[in-house]
Amino acid sequence: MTYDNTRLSVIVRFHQEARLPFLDEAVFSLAIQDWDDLEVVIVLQNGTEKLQHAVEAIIHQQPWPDSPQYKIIIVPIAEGVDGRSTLLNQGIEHATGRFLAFLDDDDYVYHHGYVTLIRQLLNGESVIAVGGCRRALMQPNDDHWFIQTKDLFFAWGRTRLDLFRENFIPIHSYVIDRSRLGDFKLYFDDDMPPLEDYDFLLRLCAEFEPDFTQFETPVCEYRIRLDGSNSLAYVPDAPPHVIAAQKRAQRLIRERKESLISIMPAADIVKLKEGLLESISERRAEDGNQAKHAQEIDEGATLYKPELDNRVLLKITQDIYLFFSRHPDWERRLSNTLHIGWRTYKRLKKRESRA
Amino acid sequence: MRADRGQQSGKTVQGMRGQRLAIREQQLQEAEEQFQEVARQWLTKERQIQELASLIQTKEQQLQDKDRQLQAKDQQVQAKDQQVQKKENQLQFKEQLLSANEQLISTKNQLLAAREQQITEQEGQLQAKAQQVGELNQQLQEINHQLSVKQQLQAKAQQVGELNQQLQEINHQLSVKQQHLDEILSSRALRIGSTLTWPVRKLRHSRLLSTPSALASNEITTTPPTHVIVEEVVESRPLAASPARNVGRLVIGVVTFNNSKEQLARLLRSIEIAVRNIEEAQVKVCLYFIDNGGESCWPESSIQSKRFKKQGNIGFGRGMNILMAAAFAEEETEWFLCLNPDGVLHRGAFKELLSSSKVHPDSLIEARQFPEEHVKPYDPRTLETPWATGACLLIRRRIFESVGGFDPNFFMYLEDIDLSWRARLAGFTVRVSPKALFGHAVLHRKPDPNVDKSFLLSGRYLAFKWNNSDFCKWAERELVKRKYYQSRSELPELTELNTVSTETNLEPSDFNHYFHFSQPRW
Repeated sequence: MTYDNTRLSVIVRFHQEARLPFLDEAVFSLAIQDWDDLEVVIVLQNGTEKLQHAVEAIIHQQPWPDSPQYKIIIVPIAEGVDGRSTLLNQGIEHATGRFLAFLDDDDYVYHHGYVTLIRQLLNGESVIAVGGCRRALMQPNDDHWFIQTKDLFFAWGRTRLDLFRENFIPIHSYVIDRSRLGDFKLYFDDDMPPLEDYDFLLRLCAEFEPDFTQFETPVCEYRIRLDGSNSLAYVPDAPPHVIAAQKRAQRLIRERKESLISIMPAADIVKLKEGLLESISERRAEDGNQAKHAQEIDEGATLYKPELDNRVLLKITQDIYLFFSRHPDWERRLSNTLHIGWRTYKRLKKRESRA
Repeated sequence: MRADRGQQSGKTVQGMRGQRLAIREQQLQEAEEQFQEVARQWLTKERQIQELASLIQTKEQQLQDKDRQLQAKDQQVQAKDQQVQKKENQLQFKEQLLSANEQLISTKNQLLAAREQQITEQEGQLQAKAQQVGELNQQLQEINHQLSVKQQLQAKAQQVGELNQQLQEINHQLSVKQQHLDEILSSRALRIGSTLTWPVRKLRHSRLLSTPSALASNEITTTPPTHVIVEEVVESRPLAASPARNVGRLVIGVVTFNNSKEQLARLLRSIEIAVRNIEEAQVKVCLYFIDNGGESCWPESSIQSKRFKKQGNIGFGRGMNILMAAAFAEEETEWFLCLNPDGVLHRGAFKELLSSSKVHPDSLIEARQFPEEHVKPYDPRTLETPWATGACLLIRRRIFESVGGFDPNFFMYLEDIDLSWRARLAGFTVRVSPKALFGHAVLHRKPDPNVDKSFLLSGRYLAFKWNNSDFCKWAERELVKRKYYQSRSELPELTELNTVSTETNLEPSDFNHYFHFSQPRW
């Protein structure tokens, strides 16, 4: 598909009527964006006509720069089914913009958020530009939510390898340029909720190097309600069926990671290896207990020790290495990738076909 | 002979034995050869058996490999089956979606048909009404012809009478205002020098000028005071403050400074939307603005607006004071909203601000900055906060009459903090209206030396006024250190007349948290 426009389509998934006040603020944050060419695609889960009118009223009563470009899509989801992926996939199908972003109905984006990320995409060659995200902890009050504090909770990660270890990129903190996707199909896996956003990023970032240039700039806010009413991926005291879904999703994510190892670029693996060797030598230099660390590596035990290691990035690299090493064919996969990386393979294939 | 014979017979025996031995040796050789042959054969057969065994092993291995391949293929087939099932499920789901969409389209079509019918009916009714109107117009024209010259004369006479009545009413209002102002001036609450008395003088002045002709030309030519005298406050409550009314007019004050046409259009659109969401019909809204920079360009709007005569770049506080004084000089004004031109209001902003003001009539009410709200604290239960920003601040008449407007000695920044502290000193409170949102971009701003300098100068003056010499000296040092001034002797002079009396309660002021002026939440 070709895109000759500069439109940004923002897909907002909306689950419950009770969350209309949150949606109002989320849409207000879109209406006051510095990027004018904006299309809002609101996907309602099992929405009635009355709810559709209520959402339309919210959209029409915002101070848009021009008349609002919007679509409201109602998606029927059976009771007991987690339709998060389905809602987003429907939104992607209806979006017309070259640039694509996602926003949950209870979060919001800062004024400069989209303009910063789109400029970054236009200046570079990446498919996805990632910005910073602040976490706001909100306490319920009589008739409003009081923000206790804000922090840069998600700033622990920095690279694609960090993403491979754990998700640190909230769904509303990036913008995708669809004109650069080629044959890659954007979709959220229906089997993956509540980790559908992580799975989406793993697949996308295994194929394309994300642009983290603007990661220092907070572009959005992730709002955590302290009464536990957020639809988080990990809820400690959740009912059994939710915990079962979480475990299933975690297993599927592990499988996804294993399937993606062989297509990771060689450069990443080299970095990974170098980082690991460096960290081991540093740790050996620190306490001189070589035998102990060698045993730790052999046993595949975690190398992380809070009393020794204050370098979070180091810990992440080691953990990924251990993840690789746990895989039965890891040596073969690693050596294969080192000798002929996926990108090199593709380049060779291209040359062959030209010849 | 016998012996010869014996010897001969012995020789023959020996020869026979030799022959036999030779034969046996031959036989042994043959047997050995046969054995060797058999051994060779056995070895070859053993080799063959070994080869066969190895062949069997290799074939077994091949069979095992093939089994493995078959198992792998089975797994692939199973996986593909699963994919096919998944795709079938997706297809089914899409079919469901399509059917749902079709149902929606059919219902919408039905609705459209019903609406078309309604429109045709309404068109018929309109045509009938148009005919009736035409007939009435004809009748009116006839009547008008009959009442030509005499009626015109009578109308003119009535107009003259009405004008006289209006003049009498205006005179009455002026006398009431004069009494009211005299009461204010004589009250002991107005003790913060010209910061408080200036608006009163301003009221007087504007009263003289706010004749119908002057207001029609939208020109109020007043000169703001050149200095502020702050005196001791004896009583914390205003004695002559007007009672809080929940009806009246809300005047929005905007001081522009080279704001773009698009920015002002967006602000105005947000004002229109917010006005539509005010539930009370008794509250009227109008817009007053003054240009500190180039002439601002506002689009046409349903909101009644008034442009004030430009007086150069006189600063935010002075500009806002002109608008505020003019607004409260008109009796119907109950609220004044200080509003920054570089933001936008949320649709529920006015509704929430007015609602908060009704619950807390003795409070300055501040909208919540969105999406990045101010870091200063507020009590989530009482909503009280140490100070309010002037970006979107609702001021009630009674607070203005008691405390006055902004201190004009602040050119830009921190005048809102001073106003908040003065209001608190006078016994009022400052509150946040958390559901009233004001979209204001405060993050990701480029550092501007002019802004930095203005902040430091205002901070210096604020600290001087509120008797905090440490902060004042720190600001002066920073102004020199950051090379805005060569030395401290070059800094603008501060007069003792501007300070708050040391006997006054300085509790509202807080200089312990840098430019936050309160303990930040994060």
